Amino acid sequence: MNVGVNTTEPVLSLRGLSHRFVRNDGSEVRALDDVSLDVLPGEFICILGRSGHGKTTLLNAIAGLQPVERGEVHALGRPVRGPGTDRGVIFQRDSVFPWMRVEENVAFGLRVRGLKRRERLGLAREQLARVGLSAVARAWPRELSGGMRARVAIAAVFATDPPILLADEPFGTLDYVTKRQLQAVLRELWHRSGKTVLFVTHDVEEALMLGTRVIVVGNGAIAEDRAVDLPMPRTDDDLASPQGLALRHLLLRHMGLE
Amino acid sequence: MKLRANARLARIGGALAVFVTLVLAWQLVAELVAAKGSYGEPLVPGWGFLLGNALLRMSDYWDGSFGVPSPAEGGPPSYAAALLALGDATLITFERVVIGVAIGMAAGLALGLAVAASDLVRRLVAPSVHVLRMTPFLAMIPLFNLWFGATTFGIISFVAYGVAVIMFVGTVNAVRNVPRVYFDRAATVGASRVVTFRDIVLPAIFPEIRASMLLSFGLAWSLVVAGELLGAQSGLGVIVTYALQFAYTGRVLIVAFLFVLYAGISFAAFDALSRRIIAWHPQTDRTLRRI
Repeated sequence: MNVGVNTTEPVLSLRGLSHRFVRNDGSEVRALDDVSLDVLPGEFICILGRSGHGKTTLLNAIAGLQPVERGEVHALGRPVRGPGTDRGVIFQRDSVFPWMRVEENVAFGLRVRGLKRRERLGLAREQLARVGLSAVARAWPRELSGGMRARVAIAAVFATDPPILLADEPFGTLDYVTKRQLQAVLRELWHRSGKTVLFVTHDVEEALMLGTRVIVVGNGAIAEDRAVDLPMPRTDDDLASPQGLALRHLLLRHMGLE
Repeated sequence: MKLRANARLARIGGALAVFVTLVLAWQLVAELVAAKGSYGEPLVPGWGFLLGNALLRMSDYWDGSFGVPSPAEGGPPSYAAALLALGDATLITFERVVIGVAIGMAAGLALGLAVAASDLVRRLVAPSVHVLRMTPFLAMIPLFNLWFGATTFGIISFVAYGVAVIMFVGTVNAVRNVPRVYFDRAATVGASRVVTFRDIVLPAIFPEIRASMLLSFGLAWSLVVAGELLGAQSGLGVIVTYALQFAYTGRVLIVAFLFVLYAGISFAAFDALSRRIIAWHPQTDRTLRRI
């Protein structure tokens, strides 16, 4: 994809990110503790960690939705000062606008960009076809299941084609089967588009299934940073290979389970 | 389909049964309570008295135009004159409601949105909003009476004030209830403040705004009668004022029925008109359809 471009230049560069939250009782939480990280083009990085250890804060800091006390984020070489169209976000909470039909939801980012109705709805339908939702393009979100709404959110973010994709536990609330299906959808879209992805999850299996690299976050700091050298696309057999199992044990240990 | 039709039938049948029971219970109480008011009318009038004497005597309030004679000019009491009197008073009161609601809604909504547009102003205003909401509207009547007297302008102002408070509080709360993730999503695709307001805030708050509007219609009818009771020269409230002086319970009840009817009609009409706009809302299918 990036023939002729210097591919070693990081797409995202984090330097010394630190941030604290103050609880209602006055105690402090270190959500980010001196986090530095370089992300290369086309990487699919899974950020793994338990709840309340700073995963979402990290992602929001990169998205520009959460100002941090110290440190710098650079995206495509430019310092991040707020949200930007170079960084698409799939949110943890249901972000599909209930007052817009499915296709209008997917086209919203294009509408903001000033595309004409015909043009943006055409592009939206293309994206809906890729996530298998062509049949419900004119439906209201309330008529869709949670899994289908997650597909809408994915289609919406791919419609605007941002080079960087940030996903915050997008499948965290879905049932197992739906989750596996959507993992395949996202992996396929990533593979076709060559985007750089940061994917937050608390699910070890999900991280190993999707990531080219897994980063474990604990107490706001990076506890582990591992390339996942398993074939792509991955199968359950790959995860059960000696190499896959070794990685799995390593990650579980970092999560405090073994 | 058949199931739904049956359920509907059962619901209507149930409502009808309750209604008939209430009508009969009222009659029973009327038979049992023999107490009379100071001018000899029953304090709990039965249906015969209500639809006979009480309704007929409404012609007392007719001024004798359209060639229908009024009892004040020596004519006999007639149902024609009674209905004309009630219709005339209804039109006058209805006009006050409509103008008051229109002004109040516009003012409350505009103020609410202006406050909602700025985070800082919202935080400054929020505490006062709670005080306003807790202040009983009827406690403000003496003030309006002092300022405007019992004029049509005063009554309309009072209705507009009450409606504006409801709309203002409703709007400010509605904006506060918009989930943060919608704003975040808009920001990450580069939406400007104007676009965010138009495409996110306005549609997101509409269902709550609509609920406030429905509420304010019902409220407006109580506010207008409260305003008219304080010595207006025309309108349904005036009929009640006179009837109260002579303990004409029957006439008071007839006007009360009319108010229930009008409030119900305006509620249903606005509900039907505005329903299409919230076709997207998850509760359109269920809750709202049954109100």
